[in-house]
Amino acid sequence: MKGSGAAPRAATASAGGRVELPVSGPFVDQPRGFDLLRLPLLRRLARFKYARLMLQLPLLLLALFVILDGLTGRQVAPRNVATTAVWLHYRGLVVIALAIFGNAFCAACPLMLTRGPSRWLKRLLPRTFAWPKALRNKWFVILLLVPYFVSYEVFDLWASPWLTAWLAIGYFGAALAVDTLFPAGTFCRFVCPLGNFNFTLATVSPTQIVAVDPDVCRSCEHKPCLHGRETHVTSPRTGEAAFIPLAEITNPNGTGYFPGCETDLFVPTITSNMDCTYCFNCVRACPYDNVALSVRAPGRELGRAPWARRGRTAALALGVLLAYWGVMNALAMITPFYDLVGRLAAFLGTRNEALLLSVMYAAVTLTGAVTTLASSWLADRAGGKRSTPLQAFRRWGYVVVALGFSFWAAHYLFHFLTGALAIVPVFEHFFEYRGWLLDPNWRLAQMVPTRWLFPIQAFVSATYTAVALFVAARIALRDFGQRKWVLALWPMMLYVLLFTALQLIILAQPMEMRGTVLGPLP
Amino acid sequence: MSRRLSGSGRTPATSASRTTFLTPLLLVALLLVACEPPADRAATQGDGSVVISAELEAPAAIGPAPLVVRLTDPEGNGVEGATVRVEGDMTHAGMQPVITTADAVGNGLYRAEAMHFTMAGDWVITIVVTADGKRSSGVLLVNVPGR
Repeated sequence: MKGSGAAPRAATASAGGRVELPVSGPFVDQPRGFDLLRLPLLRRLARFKYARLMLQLPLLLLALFVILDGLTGRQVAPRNVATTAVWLHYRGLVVIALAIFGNAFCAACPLMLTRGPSRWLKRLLPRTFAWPKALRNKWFVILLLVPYFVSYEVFDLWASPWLTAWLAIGYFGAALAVDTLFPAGTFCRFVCPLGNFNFTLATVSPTQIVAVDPDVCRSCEHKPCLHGRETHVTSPRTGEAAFIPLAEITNPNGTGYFPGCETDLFVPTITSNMDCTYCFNCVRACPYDNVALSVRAPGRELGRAPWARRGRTAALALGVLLAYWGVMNALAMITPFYDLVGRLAAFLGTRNEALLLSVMYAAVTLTGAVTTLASSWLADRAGGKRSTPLQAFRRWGYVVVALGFSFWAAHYLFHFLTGALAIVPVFEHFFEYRGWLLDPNWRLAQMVPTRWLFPIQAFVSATYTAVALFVAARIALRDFGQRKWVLALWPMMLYVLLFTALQLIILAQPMEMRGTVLGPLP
Repeated sequence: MSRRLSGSGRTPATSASRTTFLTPLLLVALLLVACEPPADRAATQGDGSVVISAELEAPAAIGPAPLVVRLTDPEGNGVEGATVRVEGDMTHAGMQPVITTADAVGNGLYRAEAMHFTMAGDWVITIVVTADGKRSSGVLLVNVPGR
């Protein structure tokens, strides 16, 4: 990678809260690893104007299969494309992509193909509305995720092809409506539960968009990576973005309109994968070929308080809550959970599943919030800082984000490895159900022998436990110095190890797949 | 100096074009919300010439679970000479189904000896019967406890 070899000097906030950027060198502390865009094929793909469309079209086709089979196909989850592709393959491949590359599924998101219709619909509106300031944070996403996760359990979305198809339709409808009424990118950044799940967990991914040479960005007048650009030989055509004549462009990448970042990320100041859809608009829009996709250590950003300037507490709360909702998601598949809910039902005198599951969700959420706040506060105290629990949480909460990825990845991998090959007979069944003479081979399902499943899950858990411990150690060293960092570290180290132990205990339980938490009525 | 331009130069469409677009959209939305899920998960299908009933020989548990299927005509007489296929599916995607056949044991009874449950949880057992060239099916929902 090109660029100065100078030590990064992070942006600092003055007493008044104003951010002061250095006058030369890196704007913020960005990784300087190998630039994947130097690989010829990846570089060509990233710079190709229709690269995203190329990735989106197969997923759009799959979404159409999901909707069609979900609405009209056989309503048995393992035989239907909707439930198999969405709850098995999508989720499994998301965590695999996040672990080895980055947020590939937002890059290929077919929901973004509603942009064409939404641009057309915008013309019917007197104006584009501004997304309310109060909702420009992750609190609203958290508010949306609560009913989403509870509904997943209460309505057994995973078991219902019909509801899964409606969920897909709902996503397309919501993307269309939000991005019609509000500026493009609003849906991704402030609404989409899937996108925000990916954003949050992509913080442990091994790649990040960075500036090759920050000084090029500093002298760049129009910031096309952020605002987009128009490039023609002579004059602007659409007036959608700054006109940069072809002669001034190092790597023109053709002519026309190149949109900038729809989630408002300015490349040289990116410190986190949060809100980055990997759409590579910035790569295509940059007239100076100054955007890199840097390899980095997983967890690198979590040890550097990446959301201190963007997202703050809400983003951190989202990360921590996702970790505990991951616990709940796996808990709801094992026998001890059903026993507990049975006791709760007897105690409350109700068999109302929505109520019981909501109580369980609330209990797990509260437990997660309290233990994280308490451990963070203890860590600060042990390190000699007189912080409030919230201040301590803002320091240490990043550790839990890595643990969250650990749980989701181990859980989703189990399902994926158990049934990934089933996609073949499921598609055969799609056509057989509609009269084609096919004989689906239902023996195709598992990718690895059953005895390998737990060791693979344990390996994933161990890997991201190590990442969480690395993050904790880095935070401790950064904020407590050589003398006290070990003292500050131990409460969080204990927390990480206990979380991992709980995770392994849950994953080691025999899996049970029930739509009724209380079982059939006696 | 060139500047980033705001998109304020749009021309509002006429109310006629709005109506042209929104009316079919509304109709499609209404049609979609009127949809009901196909009912094959818990319903018996066929022309009614064969009545299918089924039960497990023992309480559901992980492991072997022989299933007895009774086929009768509408008058209650046992149906002989039918082909009976038994398909056990879990309610979670990706789980390999258990597919076997049931053999006739007389008086309209058929026994699926090889039926078994591989995991605790909800199972959908589909019994597909072919008798006199006609196909019927029935569904049995079973909850297999974890222990």
